[in-house]
Amino acid sequence: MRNFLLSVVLIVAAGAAAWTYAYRRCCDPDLRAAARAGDAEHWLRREFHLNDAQMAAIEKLQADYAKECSVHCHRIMEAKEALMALESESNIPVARLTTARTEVAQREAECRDAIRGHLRKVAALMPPAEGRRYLAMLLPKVDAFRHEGAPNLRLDP
Amino acid sequence: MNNEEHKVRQALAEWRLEPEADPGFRSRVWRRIDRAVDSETWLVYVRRNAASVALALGLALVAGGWFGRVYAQQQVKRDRDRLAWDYLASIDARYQADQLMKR
Repeated sequence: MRNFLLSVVLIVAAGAAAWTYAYRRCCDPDLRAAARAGDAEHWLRREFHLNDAQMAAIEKLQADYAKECSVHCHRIMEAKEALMALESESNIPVARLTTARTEVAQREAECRDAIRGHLRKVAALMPPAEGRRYLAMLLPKVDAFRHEGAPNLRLDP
Repeated sequence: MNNEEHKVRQALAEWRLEPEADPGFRSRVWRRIDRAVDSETWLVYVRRNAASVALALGLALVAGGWFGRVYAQQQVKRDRDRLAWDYLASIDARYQADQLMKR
């Protein structure tokens, strides 16, 4: 019995060692650290193999886009606040509610189109193959925003 | 065949061994076997069960390696996905508007 138990312990230890070895070979500590720190820029540079010049050009583009982004943000908030105000009142005609909802959807669509345009500009600054990969990875997420993505971004550190 | 030899043969032919039944015989034998097994070294035990031990060790190594690899790959995928969302959130006015309105 003693030998049997010793064998079981050693076999389990060997399995754990194999797990650790395979995990270390296949994991990406740098990516892990970036994810924990929420360092998207580091990820962008590394994921798409960008050099300093490309990264600087992309950062400049991002900074320019940030102004446009804040305008979109402001317009979306205005439309949503108007809709919420309407929804909190009673006996509001359906047509007014529909108009307000359409307004929110329209402003969000404008924002979505602007993001797509921005992503294409960023992709154009990358090596062609990386640019295509960048768009293939991110464009579907722009469309999926409402369904799966951003709202729970940092809830699971 | 001389007379002495004849007597011996006759005595042997007539000799009947009738041992008394010993109820503790089997249990004593098993106790001795157990003691012998318990006192064997681990290396002897492994050699005696080489096929089973090798099979179990092989399965543990393959399963451990496979699960470690799959777990690491899933973690890389999750991290990449999360960073992509982080990146998009920084340029997505819809997300930023949602966050500002939650405050």
